[in-house]
Amino acid sequence: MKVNARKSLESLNSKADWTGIRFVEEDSRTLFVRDERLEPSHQEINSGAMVEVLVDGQFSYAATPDTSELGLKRAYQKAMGLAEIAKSWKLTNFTEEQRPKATGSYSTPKANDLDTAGIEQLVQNLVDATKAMKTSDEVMSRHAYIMHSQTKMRYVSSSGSDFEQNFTQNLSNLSVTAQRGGDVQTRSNGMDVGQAGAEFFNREKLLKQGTQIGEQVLELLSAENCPSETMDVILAPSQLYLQIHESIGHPLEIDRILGDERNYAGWSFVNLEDFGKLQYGSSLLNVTFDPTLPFEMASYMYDDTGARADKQYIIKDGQLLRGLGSLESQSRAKIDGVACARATSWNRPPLDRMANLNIEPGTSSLKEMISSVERGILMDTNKSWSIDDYRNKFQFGCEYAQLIENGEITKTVKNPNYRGMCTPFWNSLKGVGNNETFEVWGSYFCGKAEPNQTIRVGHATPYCLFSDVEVFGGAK
Amino acid sequence: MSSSKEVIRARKKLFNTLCERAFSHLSGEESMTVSLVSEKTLYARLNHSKIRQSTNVDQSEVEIQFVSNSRELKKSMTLTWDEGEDFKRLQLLIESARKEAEILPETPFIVDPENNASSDQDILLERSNNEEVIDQIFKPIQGIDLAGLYTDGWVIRANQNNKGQKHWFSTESFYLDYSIYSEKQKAVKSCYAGTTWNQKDWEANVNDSNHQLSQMRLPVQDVKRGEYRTYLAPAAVAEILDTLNWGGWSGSAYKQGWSPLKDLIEGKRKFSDKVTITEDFTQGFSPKFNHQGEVAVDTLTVVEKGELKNLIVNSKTAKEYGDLKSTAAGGSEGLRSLKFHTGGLAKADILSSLGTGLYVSNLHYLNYSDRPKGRMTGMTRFACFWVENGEIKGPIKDLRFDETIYNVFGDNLLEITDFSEVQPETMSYGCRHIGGARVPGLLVDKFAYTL
Ligand SMILES: [Zn+2]
Repeated sequence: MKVNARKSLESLNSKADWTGIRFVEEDSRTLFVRDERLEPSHQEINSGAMVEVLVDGQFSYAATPDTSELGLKRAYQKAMGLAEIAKSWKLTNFTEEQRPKATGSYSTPKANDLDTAGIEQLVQNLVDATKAMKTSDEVMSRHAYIMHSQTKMRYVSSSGSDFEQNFTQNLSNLSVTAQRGGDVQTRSNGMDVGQAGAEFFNREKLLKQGTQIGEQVLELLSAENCPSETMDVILAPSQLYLQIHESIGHPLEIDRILGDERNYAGWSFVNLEDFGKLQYGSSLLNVTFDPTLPFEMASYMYDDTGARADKQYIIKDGQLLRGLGSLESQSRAKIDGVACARATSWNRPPLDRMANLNIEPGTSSLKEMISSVERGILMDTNKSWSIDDYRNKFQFGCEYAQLIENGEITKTVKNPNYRGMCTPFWNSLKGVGNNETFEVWGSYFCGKAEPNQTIRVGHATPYCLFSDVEVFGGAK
Repeated sequence: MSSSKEVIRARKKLFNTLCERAFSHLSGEESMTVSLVSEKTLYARLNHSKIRQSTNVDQSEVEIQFVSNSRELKKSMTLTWDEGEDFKRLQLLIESARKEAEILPETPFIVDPENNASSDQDILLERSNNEEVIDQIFKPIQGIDLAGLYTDGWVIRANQNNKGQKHWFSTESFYLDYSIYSEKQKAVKSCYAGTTWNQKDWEANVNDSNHQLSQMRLPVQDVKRGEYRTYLAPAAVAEILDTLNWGGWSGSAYKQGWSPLKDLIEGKRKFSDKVTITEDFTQGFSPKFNHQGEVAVDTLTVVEKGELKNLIVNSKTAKEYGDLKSTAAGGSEGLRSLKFHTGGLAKADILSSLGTGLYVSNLHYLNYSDRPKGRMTGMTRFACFWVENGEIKGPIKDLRFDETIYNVFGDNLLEITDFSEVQPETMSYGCRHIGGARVPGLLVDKFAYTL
């Protein structure tokens, strides 16, 4: 970053009890190939700074695109003005402890940058991937979409923090839609995401995925509707990641439990008293906050307040141990949390976000899980998601499913959905896949907070088997 | 301190200068549209009737849509409002677009910029300090458990192209989007929005919510899953319309096979003849011009008496599919200023017409359970009641619904209220969004609750 961060901070001559500046610069590229043709490519270069002041126990914020000394000074004055008015109505009483000293740097491990030649090749790969999806005249549209974001953040504070983090994050979404009679089916790669350089968009992988979804969309057009009955369900990581996100991640965010999100994203069925006591899932369930897997979306060294991120068990042997709460939430709730205060960019303040939240691998092979099922279904790739504001009653739809009868996969079915209640569902977990079934997924777009923020999260998980789930198919 | 009017006037001048300078550097066969999104906003986030976080945001972004050599590229960057710095950045951006236009393949269906019309609209007040309102918020809510967001400030939407077309729109407003809670975690949702803070109106708004909350203190009713006669209040209907706006009316979504209204569009299914939906820009929620500066008509009929009349189409989609006509839509081809027409059910008759069933004030987290067939699921939220023989018995525990739109807007639609309510756009992903919808309440038979 071209700013002299420390000098900018000093030149504020801040009168606040504590002062920090978070600089963020992001360069994001989007390429979208539809039916073998490149739509207008997009690049967004976004930069600015958030000035934070702690006055009388409360943090106030001012965001500015002008990172010159004068621009930051103006933002500082804005933040101090807000602090003055807000102090009569403050909810919290924070101290410098919620902004620990942090120094050092983190960078996404990567082999290649996406340069001009790389873009040219990538476009060709996306064109070829959509070509591979053209498996029949019944195919209506073929999409290959990628995002590639490079984010630099630099953070300095009056308590001596000075750190930099450089993230390179990627998304690739391939999808194909086909029609037969009145029936329309879509099959996709479920959105691949992860931290890496341009090598993330591997040509062989894109072509293989394009070919596979092109074949499977036809398979879906010929498939029967998913049956409606209560049965065993095996969820592939391409679906399970979102089940983790919605029904473990969000309800365990401490700021939700404290009611900050009640007017927008919602509250939580979990209470502060539940930590250390609640049997959240069966004894096979082990969930970690793990910022250390190098290629997962939300691996980092520090959160946006300077708290050091390390691996922690959130749920161990099914029991709820700690919450997804930042130092601010921990001081309010008096329970253990993790380093998860993050902001979407320079224009929003940090708050509790889930980062990487994973199910630790178990011991079963996928084959063993399938053969243990008398009557059940294996569901793959999330298509639809919905859950109530307390995170109890969920419903998910998947793109692709296979019936399991007497320990064997027998046929493909379309429009698979399932619904359930959070803790009964996790307590019905009866098989956890081993390392060989472990996959890294995540999302670019988790939405939360007022004002609204999206954040990038990672979820890695093996295949898992659940008993007695309410399964149903599409419209009659 | 400068007033909003002065700041916006200065930004208009600088935006004009930046565009002029950028256009003068284009070569003969290049063309370009420059769009601006700018705001100054105060956000105060509230919990337990106190301030949880407060943030002042000053942010502006320009996007160029650059066309050269049968290639189109879009690039955007942050504006600092320092002319020297911003012009330097803009030049670099154009230069990189020029280079990439040489290596990328041709772009299909480019719509070249034209000079169709220009417009200039500022809906502004002379306020200089929106922070003063903060003290006013808290007076009537002491002793009440309130959570929400106060948003106040101005926004600009503008664009220009090198053919001389210029559009400018700015507006200044606030909203306090909030919910209040009983001791037993039952809640009522409301929004106080306007252009000038009026303490009496705010107090009346809070009193109204408080009155509703008293009904939430009645004994909680245990409602089993099943089909119930249901009144969907305007805010709940707006959630359904928001979900439909996700590809439902879009010409390109239909052509590419992912419209949830496929059967309506193809005339295989119909809504009730009570249903008429228009896109009505005379409501003033958002500017009539789109990202390319194309201007929509004042009112466009989308659904008339249950039948689809027009899809929402942008000029690029119209160019690709010869049988679709452009409605000067935005990039995502959604409704930007929806109006759902009212019916005959009076407010005073809602409970008696409902008889026995559910009164649903809000819905939450909707998604498709079978998209091509128009089937969606979601949750009830906030003030929802069980009603027996026209009398509120008490609040319910949240229920999940799963229904096709052809039941809700079609076969099972009994009545539409004779009033409608404005649903202001309160989203702020990336930046403060603008827009809104005017929506009535619906009385629906056999609404299916599945969990
Ligand atoms: Zn989320």
